[in-house]
Amino acid sequence: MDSLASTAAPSPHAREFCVGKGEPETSPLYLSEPTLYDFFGVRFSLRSNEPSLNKTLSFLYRHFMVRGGFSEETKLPLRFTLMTDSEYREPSLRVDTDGAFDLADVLRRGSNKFRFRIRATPEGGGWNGVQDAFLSHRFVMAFRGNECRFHDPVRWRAYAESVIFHCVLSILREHSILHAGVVAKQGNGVVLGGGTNRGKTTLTLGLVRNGFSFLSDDLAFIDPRSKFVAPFPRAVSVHEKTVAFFPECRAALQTHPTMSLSGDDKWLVDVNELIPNSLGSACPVRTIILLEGFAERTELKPLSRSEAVIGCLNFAHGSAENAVELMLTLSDLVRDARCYSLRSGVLPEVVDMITQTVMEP
Amino acid sequence: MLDFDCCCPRRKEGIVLRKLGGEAILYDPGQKKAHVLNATALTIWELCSGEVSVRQIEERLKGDFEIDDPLELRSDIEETLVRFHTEGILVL
Repeated sequence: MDSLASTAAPSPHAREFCVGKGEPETSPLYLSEPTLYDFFGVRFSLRSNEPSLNKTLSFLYRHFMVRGGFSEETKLPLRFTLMTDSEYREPSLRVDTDGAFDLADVLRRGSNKFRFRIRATPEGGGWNGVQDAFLSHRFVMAFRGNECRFHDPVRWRAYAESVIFHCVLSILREHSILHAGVVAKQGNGVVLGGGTNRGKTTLTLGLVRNGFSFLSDDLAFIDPRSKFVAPFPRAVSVHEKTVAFFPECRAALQTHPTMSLSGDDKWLVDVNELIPNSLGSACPVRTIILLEGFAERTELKPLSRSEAVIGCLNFAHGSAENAVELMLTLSDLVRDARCYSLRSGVLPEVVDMITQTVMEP
Repeated sequence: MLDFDCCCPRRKEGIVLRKLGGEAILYDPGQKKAHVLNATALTIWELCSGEVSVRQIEERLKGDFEIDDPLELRSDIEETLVRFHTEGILVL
């Protein structure tokens, strides 16, 4: 059984990290200048002494990076500092905000609440341990207020990236979010709603290769006022097996993989590099397709609007507190959309069927 | 055994209704659960104000819908009310 006893308490040897001290890229004490990002108006900065993580995040979110910087970093609503110093302590993350910020709240929200369980640690001190249900309830992190420590020596970068992302989402109020791929054809949005392992990324890439614009492979950000879906062009994480469908991704395999939360190796691919000029812009949703799994032959069946709303609610990313708002948003969304359920056969067949359906007047 | 003749079913407070064409969605924020209603179930739901008896609901549906079998209608109404009640969104 895993225990936090030896890992959760702050080390007495903990040292302060300083920007610019030590040798860049080589010293564990060197903390980078902040990299600045903007997610739908939520601006945040990230400093780290871990070059590989900086590199991964700046590639993953390259389309969200703010060049030139902000005039005053301290005015940003979120400021992340990620530190590693393996000689003395575990990797840790601190989130600075203008007010109080409780990282544990972030893990109690949305789909996180199904995966992570928060427990008081034996040594107390205000630290809460986090068990990962996907890893036999192993303790993988610990929180205290705005600080987080990562226990998992293998997956800690994936956890850090996830915590940072969910912190940003937790203060993002303007959008309703669904687990969905999003593409567009002639300015008409197609939302491909589905949970993990339903083939969102593969289908999204297949459609983009077939002439659709790319908006997202994983999350649909819907503006409740305009009912438009916004682009979220984060780099796509592909498995080795995905490359079998997309030989153009082969070059990515020459780079170092990143480890996903499930422990698999994944490679990051910028869709706009893969298929130039494929990035789409915000557009109305005209087609909603719920990915129901796989079949020998592709089946695309019409859904009633009510069924589509219920289906999308199952793929909602967010807290239960805004479920009513989301339901109302989705109800408005489906009024102008054609809705389907899909069981996917082979990729070319699925892509052809969706393309044909979307192009129908 | 419920006496439907004397009963005036009442919707639980806080249930959110959204009409979509001929159908509707009920969302119960307490239980975080959504339900799809067809046109008949929607009419029944809207009549469950706590002041309308099951007999009056039956009469109203006879007026609003083409009913082939009145006995089946009564049975359908009772079944729908029991389902709402079982789902915790209706007080009988």
